[in-house]
Amino acid sequence: VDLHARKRLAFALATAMIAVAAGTGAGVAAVQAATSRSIAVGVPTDPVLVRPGEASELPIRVINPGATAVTVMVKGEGIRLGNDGHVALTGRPDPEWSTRASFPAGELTIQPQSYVNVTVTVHVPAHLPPNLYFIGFVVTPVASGSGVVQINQIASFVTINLAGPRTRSLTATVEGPQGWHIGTFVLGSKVTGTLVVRNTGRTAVQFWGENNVTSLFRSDPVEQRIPVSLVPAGRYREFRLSGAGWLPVDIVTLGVSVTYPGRTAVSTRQILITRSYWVVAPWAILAFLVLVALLAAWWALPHRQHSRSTSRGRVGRPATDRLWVKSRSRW
Amino acid sequence: VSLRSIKRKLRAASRVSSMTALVFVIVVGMCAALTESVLAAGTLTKISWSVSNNAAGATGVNYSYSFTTATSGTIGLVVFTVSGGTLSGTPTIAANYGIGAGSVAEVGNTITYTVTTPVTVAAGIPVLLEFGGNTNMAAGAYTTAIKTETSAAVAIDGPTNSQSLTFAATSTAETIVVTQSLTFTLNNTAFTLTMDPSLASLADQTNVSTLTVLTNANSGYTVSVADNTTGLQSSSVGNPTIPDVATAGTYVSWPAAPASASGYTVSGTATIPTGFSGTKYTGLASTAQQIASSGGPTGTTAQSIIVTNQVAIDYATATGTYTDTIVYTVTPNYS
Repeated sequence: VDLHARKRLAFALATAMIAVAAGTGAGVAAVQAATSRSIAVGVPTDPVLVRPGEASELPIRVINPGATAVTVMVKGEGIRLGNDGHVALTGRPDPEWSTRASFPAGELTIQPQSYVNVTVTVHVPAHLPPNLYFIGFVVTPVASGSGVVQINQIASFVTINLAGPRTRSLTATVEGPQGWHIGTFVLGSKVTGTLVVRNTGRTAVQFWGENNVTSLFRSDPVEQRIPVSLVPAGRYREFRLSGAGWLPVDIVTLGVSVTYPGRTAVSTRQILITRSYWVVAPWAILAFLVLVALLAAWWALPHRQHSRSTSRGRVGRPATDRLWVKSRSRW
Repeated sequence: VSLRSIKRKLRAASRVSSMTALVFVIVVGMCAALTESVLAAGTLTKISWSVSNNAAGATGVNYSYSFTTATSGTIGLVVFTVSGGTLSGTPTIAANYGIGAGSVAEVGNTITYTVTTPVTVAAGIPVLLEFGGNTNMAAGAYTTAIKTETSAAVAIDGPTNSQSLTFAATSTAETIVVTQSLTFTLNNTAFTLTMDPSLASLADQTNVSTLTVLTNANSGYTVSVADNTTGLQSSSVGNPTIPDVATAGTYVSWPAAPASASGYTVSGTATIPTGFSGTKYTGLASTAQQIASSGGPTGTTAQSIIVTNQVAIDYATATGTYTDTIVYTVTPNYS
C-alpha cells in the first residue's frame, strides 16, 4: 500500500512540475487564464398557485454541474418582461416583491456535481388582484481570480398564480404575406405570415392555438400548433405561419385560431382568423410562358411555311403576295 | 225478487268492488313505491379509480376509489365489481374518508366494504376508499362498477362504472416533473494581459472566453454583458482608463496600431447580433448589452458564445494595472 501511495505522490509531483513549466511558457504569451465555472438553476415550469394573504414557498434549485466547488449568492431582483418572451433585469430590487419575498442570506457553497435547494418564501398581500406574477432573482458566483474578472450569472424568475377570476383580453392579427407578393397573390410554393397576439388587458394570459392550412385542391388541413404561450399585459408574441400549396397554382387558406381562458379557467374564448392567398410557383409561370411560346410557334410555323411556298410559286408577283399575307394577318 | 234484496245485493257488490279497488290501489301503490325505490338508486358522480402500480400481476398494490354520493341513505355496504377479472390478494383498508370505518372482503371480482356502524350519508358527500394488499390482474383494460347499498343489500346509488385502467405487462405509470433548467458555463473566470507598447504582439492582445448555454426553456434564452462603470481602470495616480473602441452598441473594425482601445467581438453557435458580423468590435458598458440569444431550447448540444476581449495600448497609455469586472448574464425567456 505504501509503495502505491509513493508512486501516486511521485506522479502528482511530476504533473505539478509540468504545469509549472507550462505556466512559465504561458507567461511568454502574456495571457493567464483561470479555471472554468459552471452553474445551473432550475425553477418550476408551471406557475405556482398561491393565495392572497398567505405565505407560500417557492422551490429553486441551484446546481453545480462543474468539477470544482462554486460559491454563489442568491438575491431578489426586478425583471422586465418584454415582447416575445424576452426578460431583462431592471438592475434593482423589485419594488413589488423586495419586501415580500425572502431569499437566503449569505453565500452558498455548492460542491461539484451537487445542488442546493433554495426555498423562497413569498408573502402574498391580501389586496393583490388575481394574476400571474413574476418573482425575479439572480444567482451570482462569488468573483475569483485577479486582473479582469469575469462572472457568469443566471437571472431567472418563478411565476406565481394568484388564483381567482380575472379579465383577460387578447387581440390577434395575421401580418403578411411575406416575400414577393402583390396583394394576396404570392409568388412561391408557399405563403408565410406572422401571427401577432397582443395582450390588451391588465392581466397576463396564457393562450394556445393552431393554424389549419387548407388549399383549393386539398381539403384535409395541415395543422401547425401554437404551443401554450404566455403574454404579459401590454406585450405581444409573434409566431411564424406558413402554408404550402398542393399544386403549383393553388389558393392556400390559413385558418388561425387563438384560444385563451375567459374570466375563469372553466370557460374559454377564441379568436378566429381566415386568410386566403393565391400561391403560384415561379416555375409554373415559366412553364406557362414556355407553353404560350410553343403554341405561338406552332400557330405561326405552318403559315410561315405556307407563305414561303406561296411566295416561291408566285415569283414576279410580289405585290399580290404582300396583299395575300396582309389579308391573312388580318384574319 | 224483492226490490230490497236487489238493493242489498247491489250494496254488497259495491262494497266488494270498493274493497277490490282499495286492494288494487294499495297493491299498485306498493308496486309503484317499490318500483320507485328501485328507480331511486342514483348515479354516483366524480368516480375515480387509481392504482399505485399498474404493472400486471404486481402485488401489494393500493387501489384507491373516490366518488360522490347521489342519494341520501344509510350506507352499510359499498360494492366494487371489477370487470372481467378475478381479484387476488388480501385487501386491507388503507383509507376511508366520507364514510364510517368498516371491514373489507374480496370474493371473485368483487371487493365489498362493510360499514361497521352505518349512518345516514347525505347526497353530495365525497367518499374515498383505499384498499391495500391487492394483486393486479393480467394485462388488459379494466373498469370498476361501484354501488352503495344498505346493510340489507338494498341499492342506494349505482352501480356506476369508473374510467378504464390499463394493467400493462411491461410498463408502470409514471409522473415525471421536469423543471425548467438552465446551465451557464464560462471557461475562464479571470484573465491577465501583460502588455508592452514596444512590440506589436505585446501591444495588442486578446483573450478568448467561451460561454456555453444549455436550457430546456421553451422560448430559449438571452445572454447580455456589462462591466464596471469606469471600464478598464488603473489604481495608479489619476486612475487612468483605457477607452472603449466604440460606444456600446456601435460596431467598428479594430483600429490599426498604434491605438489605445479596449473592446470585444462575439461569435458562436447561438444567435449573435448582426453588428458583430465581419469581426466588428464594440465597447463594454455598465448597461447590459445583448450578445447572444436563442428562440428555443438548446437540446442536448450546448450553444457556444465566443467572446474575444481585445486590448491595444500605445506609449500614450499610462503604466499600471488595469482591472475590470465583466458580468455575463443569461436569462431564460418566458414561454
